[in-house]
Parts: sequence; structure tokens; C-alpha cells
Amino acid sequence: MATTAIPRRMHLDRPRVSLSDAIVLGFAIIAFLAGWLVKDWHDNRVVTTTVAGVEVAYPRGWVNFGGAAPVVLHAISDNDPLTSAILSVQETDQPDILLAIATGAPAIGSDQTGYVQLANEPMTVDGVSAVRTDYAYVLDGAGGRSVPVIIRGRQFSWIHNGQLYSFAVEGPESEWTNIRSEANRLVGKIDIAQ
Amino acid sequence: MAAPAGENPNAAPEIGHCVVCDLPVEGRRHELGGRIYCDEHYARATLGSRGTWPAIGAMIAGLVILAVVMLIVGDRISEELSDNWIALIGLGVSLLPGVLWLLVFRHLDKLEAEPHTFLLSMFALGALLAGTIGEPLRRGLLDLHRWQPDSWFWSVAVHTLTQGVVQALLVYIAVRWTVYLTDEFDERADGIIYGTAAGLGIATLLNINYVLDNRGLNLDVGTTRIIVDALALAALGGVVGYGLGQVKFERHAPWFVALWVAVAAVLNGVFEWLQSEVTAQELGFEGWPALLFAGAFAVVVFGFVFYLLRVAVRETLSRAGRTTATATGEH
Repeated sequence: MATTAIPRRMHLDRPRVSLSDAIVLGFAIIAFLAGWLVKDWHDNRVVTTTVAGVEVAYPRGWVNFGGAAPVVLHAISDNDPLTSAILSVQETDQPDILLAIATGAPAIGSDQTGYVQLANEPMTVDGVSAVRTDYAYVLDGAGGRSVPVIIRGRQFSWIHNGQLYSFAVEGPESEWTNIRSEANRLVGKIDIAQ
Repeated sequence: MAAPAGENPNAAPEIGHCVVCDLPVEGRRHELGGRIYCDEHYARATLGSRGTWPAIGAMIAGLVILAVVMLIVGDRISEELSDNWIALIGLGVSLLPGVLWLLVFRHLDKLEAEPHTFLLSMFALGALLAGTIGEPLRRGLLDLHRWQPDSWFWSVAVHTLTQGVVQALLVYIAVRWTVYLTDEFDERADGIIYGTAAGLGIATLLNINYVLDNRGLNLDVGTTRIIVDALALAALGGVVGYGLGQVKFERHAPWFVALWVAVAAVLNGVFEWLQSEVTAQELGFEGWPALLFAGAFAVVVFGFVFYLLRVAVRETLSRAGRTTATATGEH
């Protein structure tokens, strides 16, 4: 088989890693990891507020519009108006959260079109028995010209001092992965006054 | 480190003559394209072949003109075409900056012409590295393409440390372990030429992603975005390439190239923030300010690199002058 000689000027010297290369690579790796940490810290900053005897947190930059009873906190994302964190509080005679959920206690979003609970799972919030509920509904934009949007949310409910607390993070279905992890992060910051 | 390209370590000790001044060249000889240069004319030659800087100027001008044309007529074209045709045109426009760079160079760089296969390879390698390393980190891991920082400080800090460092490193890798090792890398300005090609390759991959993310984009604003990215990354590739060109032909501290990778990263972060400030409008992207800003950015960065190269050459010339004076006993 005929071979073609490589022109001298195109010949490659044997590659090796010099001290200079090692410094560049080391600098790049350290800088990238530092940048990742800085971004993570920036994105995970929260604002905490105490409402109805509970300290809750929502991402910094989100705007808390309060809300009409039973909603006591409604913080809307600064990036997406459909993404928000909600806390509602209402009195209940039921002492057990599992029973309260099973007997149809009012839930966040339950008055919306096509509301459905996708999963319920017992857990604890700040040491108090709670139920985690994944739900979805359709935001049909009645009167507007927008296409209906499927909203998905994750709600945490617990009973404390005769009050049923429901804390949820919800947003467009397309952002579900982010919403779910945001909900899990924020629920870990809830402080229930004992 | 291997002997610097352009010098022939195995050369016979016979006396040659400088191809420019025809004076005998004794001892340390420099060769470019098989021709012998004295210290002074070697330093001048390594400022960059006659075509390098006009090629850079022509590339910037060509891209800005293309963007201006598309800003004027792109909106009308977009209305006539389906989304698939617009995406196809967008993909073609994404490739244009790289093609323009190759074509302009082919035409202008005739003194010590770089092999176009090398330039093309550098362009392709830049795109491949961006596709396999840069974008998975930038988009997949950090979600930077959708990230909204709280303030200018976070924008500059995070973009510098993540996107800026990664893209500068990719240019470094693309040039350092390929063409840098060949005898073709025989001018200080070669680092800038190949760094620019690698930067354009990265920009091309970013722009292809942008077009595929926005199938129904308007050709006026879409083309501007593509060209803005190309101008910025070409200039930043040139900065990293400058550092590589310097260490190949001059003795520098081991951290010298890392410094230029860092400079490119910081410029990347600052550009990202300034661009978002200059171009932000209520619902998206303002074409004209973006284009003017990116064009000015490219001119300033390449101008700065050109200035640094001139300073380096002047230092080499003064060193050569001192050596000659010492050899001839002048004071």
C-alpha cells in the first residue's frame, strides 16, 4: 500500500504536559468549581418570614404578595409568574393529618380546573407528622388569549395547634424537575414554633 | 520544551544572509518559510504576516456588514419563510463567521500562509470541544443559558469563573496540543490566528444550539445574535492565542499563559454582562446596540492584542540592538 509522507512543517512534536500546561489546567478546574459554588450559593439564597406562627422561606428575588385567606403567603418567582410558593392556614377539628387528607381537607389548587392529586406520601416537616402531595391542574387563562397551561405542584400539609398548614411550590409542568427540587429544599427550611 | 519553531537547532554553523537586509547572520539563525532572518527582521516578521491584521479587520467588518444587512432585510425574509427554512438559513449563518475567516485569510495571508487545513481543523476542533465539554457544562450542568443573576457582580463573577474559563480553556487545548506542536506555528501572531479559529468554532457550536432552540427566530435579531457571539469568541480566542504565541517564542514565567486564559475569561464575563445590559429590552433582545457593542468589543480586544504584540516585538528588537552593540563594542 502506498504511503504519503507528512510534510515536515505539518509534523507534530510529541505532546507532553509542561508545568505551564499544568498551571492552566489546575487554574481552570479550581476556577470552574469556584464558579459553580458561587452560582449555587447565589441561586439558593432565600428570604425567611414568619407567618401564622411558622417560619417559612422562599427564594430571594421572589415577591411575596401575601394573599387572601386562607392563603397567608404567596411568593411569585421573578423569572416566571406561574411559579410560586404558597402557604395556607385554616382551622381544623381533625387532629391527624392522614385522616384530614383522607377526608378531603381543602388543598392548594383544589378549586382549579382539572385538579388532581397524583401522589400522597406520609413524612415529617420539622419533626411534625405531615403528608406530601403532588398535584396538577389546568390554568385555563379564562378571558385571556393564552393557551391553557398545566400547573404541577408539591404540597406539604401538617396540623399544629388546631391549624391545618399547607405549604406548596407550583409552576408550569415543563419545569416540574426544578419545582420539585425547590419544594424539597424550601420545606427543609420550615420552622414550626413548638 | 522543544526548540522554538522558526529556529533550526540542527542547522549547520555556516553563515547565511538575512532575506531582508542581506547582512550575514551568524550564530543564532531564524527561519521562516525556509528563508533566513536576522534578529531584527525576524522580530518584525513575527509581528504577523502581512495579511494577519487586515484579515482580522476584514472579518470584523464582514460580520458587521452581514449583521447590518440582516437587521435591515431579515424581518421581511422571516415573514416569507416557514420555520424550517428559517432554521436552515440560521444554521448556514452560524457557519458563516468561520467560513468568512477562512476565505479572508486564504486571500490575504500570502507572505507566510497558514495551511487552510490547519485553520479548518482548528475551527472544527473548537466546535467539537464546545459540543463535548463546553456546552454540557454550560447548559447541562449549570443551566447558564437560562440563568438570571441578581446583579452585575454575580453576572460577571459567575460567567467569568464558569463559561469564561471553560471557553478559554477549550481554545487553549485546541491550539496547544495540535498546531502549537508543529513547525507551522512559526510566528507569534500564529497563536492569534489559530486561537481566533478555535474561538469561531466554539461560537459556531453555540450558535447552532441557539438556532435549534429557536426554530422560528426572526432572521434580523437571530443573525445579529449569531454574529455578536462570533465576534466576541473570536476576539477572546485571539487573547488566549496571544499568550500561546508569546510562550512559544519568548521565555516567560510558567504562569504566563494561565494569566492570558484568565484575562480571556474575565473579558468573557464582562462581555456577557455588558451585552445583557446594552441589549436588554422589555421582551427580549435589541439588535443594533448588540451589534455595535460586539463590533466595538472585537476591535478593542484585537487592538489591545495588536498593541501587546508590537510591544513584545519592540522589546525583542531592543534586545537584538543591545546584543549587536555589545558584539561590535559600541556604547
